[in-house]
Amino acid sequence: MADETAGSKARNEVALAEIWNGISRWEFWLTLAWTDIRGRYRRTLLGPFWSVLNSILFISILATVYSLLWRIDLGTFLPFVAAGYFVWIFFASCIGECCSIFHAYGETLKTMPLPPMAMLVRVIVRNLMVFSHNLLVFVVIALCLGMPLAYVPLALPGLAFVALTALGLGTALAFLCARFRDFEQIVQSLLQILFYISPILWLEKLLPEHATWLAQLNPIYHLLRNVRDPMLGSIPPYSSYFAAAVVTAASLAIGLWAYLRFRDRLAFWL
Amino acid sequence: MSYITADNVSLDLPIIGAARSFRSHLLVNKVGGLLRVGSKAENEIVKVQALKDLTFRLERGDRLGLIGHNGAGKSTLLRVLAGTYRPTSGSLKIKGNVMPLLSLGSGMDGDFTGYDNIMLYGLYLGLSRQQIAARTREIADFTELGDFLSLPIRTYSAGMLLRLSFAVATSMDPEILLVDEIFGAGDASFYVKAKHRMETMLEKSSILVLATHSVSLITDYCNKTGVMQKGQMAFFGPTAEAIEYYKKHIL
Repeated sequence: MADETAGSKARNEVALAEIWNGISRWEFWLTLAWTDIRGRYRRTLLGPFWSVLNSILFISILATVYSLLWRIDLGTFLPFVAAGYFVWIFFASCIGECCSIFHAYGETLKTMPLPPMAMLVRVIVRNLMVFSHNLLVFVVIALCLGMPLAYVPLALPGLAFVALTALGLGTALAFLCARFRDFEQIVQSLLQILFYISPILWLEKLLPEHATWLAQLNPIYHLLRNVRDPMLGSIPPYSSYFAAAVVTAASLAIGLWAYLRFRDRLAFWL
Repeated sequence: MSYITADNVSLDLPIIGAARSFRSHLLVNKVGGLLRVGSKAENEIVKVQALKDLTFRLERGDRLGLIGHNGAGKSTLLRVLAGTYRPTSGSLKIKGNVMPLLSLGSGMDGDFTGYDNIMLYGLYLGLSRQQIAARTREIADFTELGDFLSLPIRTYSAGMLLRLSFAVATSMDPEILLVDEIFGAGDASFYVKAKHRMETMLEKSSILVLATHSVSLITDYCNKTGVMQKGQMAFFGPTAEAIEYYKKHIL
């Protein structure tokens, strides 16, 4: 028994060193993330503008329809939807892509001396690149509508919470999906549901009094607010920062646990 | 001073998703490792005993050839040495930086050019951008691919990919080089170059482990040879004796 504990302690130390190694290989994940983005729109005429075009189309049509539905002025609703949607897409793409990254690079992970951690960071970083691109689109929308942009830099701490939550949760899900492929499908449908039950296409103040918990208990709502509120020109409440910090810490803890527990078996699942 | 010491290294590979009928089918197979059927307590996962009690030691200048049937465990052993598979039991001590060259195209992107892929592959191998940039010229020269390096590598033949991967992997004077069967894709002029480069490499405290089916490649390159059979090292020793054993017992 004592031997076994010593063995698992040594294994944990190796895994921790590897996590750190993966995080510190910034040249790898930065270059590969950028290569991924370049590769995605390779040989298309519009290149990355496809992503801009897609989101502009989605945002403008949905914002128009829903502003009629909720009887809200489009000028205030459009930036609300745009900001929320961009943050959501960032989070959902990180999670969804983490679920498939180990399979996608199965052969590589079995034959190259690369810490799987570096792959997960690469997923988060490439989506951060897409988000910063989308942020520019948002700034253009905001400028056209004459909105104040002074608070936008305050979105950064909120974004850090979203990114770290996605990294922690994504790590745990990446291992789970590598072992049980069904979870990739499950995660996709859960993400879809989460999109509709989170206040992205609707304002939380539209909720009746007895149903405000629907937003308050949704971790996505708090993560979202800390980025969206500053983008729209207000400061999120402390309670949202607190909730986001708790969610982030819990996600990172789950991710770390999964990494230490399943790292050694990963290659056998691919 | 680099070395590899393997002491009773064993590896059980769980085969996930193997159906019951598939399992019974596997049991009577002639080639491949020894199959172990997990008990009910192990959730009925089929396990292949891919490596069994391997014990050997390699020191500076050693060039080990691995030979044996398909599925005898050559590639699995290379993956264990590369650190991507962790042994189930036994101890493995490796000193020196390991450079694996185990599959063609891993760590590369078919739609990017040869030059782009020198960078990508180097980053996968753990080199820094600066290290790679400083050696790009030399790597390009070694490949002799010339203008092809400006084309997407999906247009390359296996031999061209091998030239590219080999040039990057050996550009940093690795202390331990692991090469899998992919070596077969090279042409005669590549072998001459590769052999020359490995000889210079091996002078600087290096170790080579090469898995192949080609007896002539082994006699050319290796001073020691391991004959593998069903996950075990049936014979380990000087190449001449090992080849004799291989021809007599395995072929």
